[in-house]
Amino acid sequence: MATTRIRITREQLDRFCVEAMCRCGMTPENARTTAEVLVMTDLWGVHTHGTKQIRMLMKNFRDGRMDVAARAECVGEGPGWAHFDGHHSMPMPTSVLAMQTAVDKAKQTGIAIGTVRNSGHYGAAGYYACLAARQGRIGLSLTNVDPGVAAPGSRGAVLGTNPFAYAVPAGEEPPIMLDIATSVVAASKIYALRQLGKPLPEGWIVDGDGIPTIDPGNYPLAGALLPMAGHKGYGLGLMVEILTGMLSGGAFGKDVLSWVFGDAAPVNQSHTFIAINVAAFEPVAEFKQRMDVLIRQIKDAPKARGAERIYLPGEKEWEHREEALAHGLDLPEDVCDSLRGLADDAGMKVSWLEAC
Amino acid sequence: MESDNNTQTALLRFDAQALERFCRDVLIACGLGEEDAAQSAHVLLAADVRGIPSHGIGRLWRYVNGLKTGLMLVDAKPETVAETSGSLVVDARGGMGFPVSVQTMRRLIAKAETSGAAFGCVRDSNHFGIAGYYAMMALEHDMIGIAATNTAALGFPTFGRQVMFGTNPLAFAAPALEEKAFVLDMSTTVGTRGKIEGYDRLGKPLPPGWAADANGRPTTDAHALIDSLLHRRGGGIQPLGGESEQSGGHKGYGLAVMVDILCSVLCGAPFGPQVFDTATSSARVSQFFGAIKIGAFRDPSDFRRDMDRMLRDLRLCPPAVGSERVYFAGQKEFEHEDEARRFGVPLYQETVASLETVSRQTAVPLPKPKIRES
Repeated sequence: MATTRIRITREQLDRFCVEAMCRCGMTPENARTTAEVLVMTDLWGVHTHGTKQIRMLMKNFRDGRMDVAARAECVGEGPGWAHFDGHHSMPMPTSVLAMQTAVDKAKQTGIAIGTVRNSGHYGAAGYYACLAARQGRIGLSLTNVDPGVAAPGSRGAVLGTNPFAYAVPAGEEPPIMLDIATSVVAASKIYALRQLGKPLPEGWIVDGDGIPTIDPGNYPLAGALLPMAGHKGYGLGLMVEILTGMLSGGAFGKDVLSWVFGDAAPVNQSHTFIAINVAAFEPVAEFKQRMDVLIRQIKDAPKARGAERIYLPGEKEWEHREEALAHGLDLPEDVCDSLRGLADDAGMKVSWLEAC
Repeated sequence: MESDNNTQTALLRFDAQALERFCRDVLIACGLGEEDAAQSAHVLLAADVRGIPSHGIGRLWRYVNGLKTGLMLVDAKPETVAETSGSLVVDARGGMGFPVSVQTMRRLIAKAETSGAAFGCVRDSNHFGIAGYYAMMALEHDMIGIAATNTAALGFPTFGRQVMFGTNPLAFAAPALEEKAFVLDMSTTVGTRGKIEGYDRLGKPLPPGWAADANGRPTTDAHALIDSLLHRRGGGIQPLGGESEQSGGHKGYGLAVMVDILCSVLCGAPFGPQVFDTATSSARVSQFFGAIKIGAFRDPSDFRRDMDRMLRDLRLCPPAVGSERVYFAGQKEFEHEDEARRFGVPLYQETVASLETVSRQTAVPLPKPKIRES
């Protein structure tokens, strides 16, 4: 482990990412949008879904899972909806476009929905929900993912981890943001413990027979993740599948492919973005004030024995961001490794990255 | 939503239409208008027909009491507070929860027809029965339906020990063809008050991981918990996902808060711990509804065909060793509905006893059972 780790600024990271993606053939505009999504995710401390992913995304272009020259196309729209075909282009610019379209349309219609089909891995669902929350909307962001989760009583995976995120603006308090996989945990947590040779907590995965196990040894070749909270989480995972792949007319179930493993074929994820215009329901100032009350009420509530704090969804992420903006970002080793690899791939020499 | 038949015994089967008429006539006898009464009866019966007796006609006595004591106002006229082409806020003015919910969902379906999607809130309302009923209203219009309600605060946040939100159920329905529909209807807490009352009635301990006492320690004592909740002394039901972040409790907590925001913060209604019941009153609650027009995005028949393919694949996927079947949400309820339509609606003996009391109070005769089962 590095003991002389340096902290870098958001701008340094952003500049590097934009240049690397441009060198891999992306337009400056799309590279900037993508970097904005992924750097924000690092600022939140959600490093599994941050800039670490750029190297693999660029490989997705080279492998033909995605098309660097493709552009998203609006294939249908009306007062409160818009429907995009990603044509396997970079998912972040497409997703920002779809959410922003929903945000704009909701001004007139109160609520609006943007769907995207034929897309790929879009990073952290919460980013797009927050994009809406910054503009006085309640934002929802959902995506389907290749199957990795069992149904209660099934043998093997039938459904993706299908994340779901929402974000709600508040007044003086930071927005509430929940960004969750509908499985008990994301697959990355299983890999992390497997790498350390540690057993898993009970209730995270099943083995190849569909029986719960704490042994990550054969995962993911055999076995599957469990849905959160049993049949209810399974239901939520299916809800996400229906609102994304099914509603957009994109792929669903086994036709959604991994963006990392398996044959280098298009990923076929679908995303859905919903924007609810607060002003259509209640004066925004009042709403924000009431959100502050809700947040403070929960924060100030009596704690369970042994607990020091009650967190609001997203609170840890906003704190991490504030700290990172004030004192610089401290990137974990695996992120630095990936960024160094990206620099090599793109033929770049970056001094802070060498020392990182 | 699961049935709570593990906590009760002995069934009588009644004709669904006869029961629904009884229910309607009782509500009319309590002063409710004919149409409001009919809509309320239809929602209540749907719960029993679908195998969710905790939310069905067994609660009729509560509505009778509510209407008599003025907790629910018989002559309330709902008022539209805010409206756009795709959104709606309705104030129920303290009336029954069922009719205003049905009417609001209908208006949202009509709006979604042109707008593509429409969401709305109802505030100052009362208990609306099963959330799934309203979500399912969208199905015949080739739409996806959403419904949610806040409830009296019974759930507490991860790392907390005092109730901060309700059991806040969320329902979602999407149409299929031969597989009928996907209908999710779930509380965002581990258990509901109805279920905890069921354990209390039978003197059974609660399953571990369901609840905490006033000190935030895990408890399985249903009776003490209900008492503590009623007197607001602390303790409550765990959020969906259970007591730790490791088991995903923070996810259920986040979902419960989302339902509270959509139902109440969004439309200026009381939220969180400000929504509570007492020994003699039940809280006014608020609701959230949504309709999404499938045809705005793709051909609805293609959608239904794809739904069939997905649901059939799930239903027929290889079961785990030791399991017999894999279900999808709503499947058990549709199977129950088939049975109830054929053989009659099953009611527990204690439910029938409560209906007999209601029948005496309102002078509306209770229909005779079709079959007696043990």
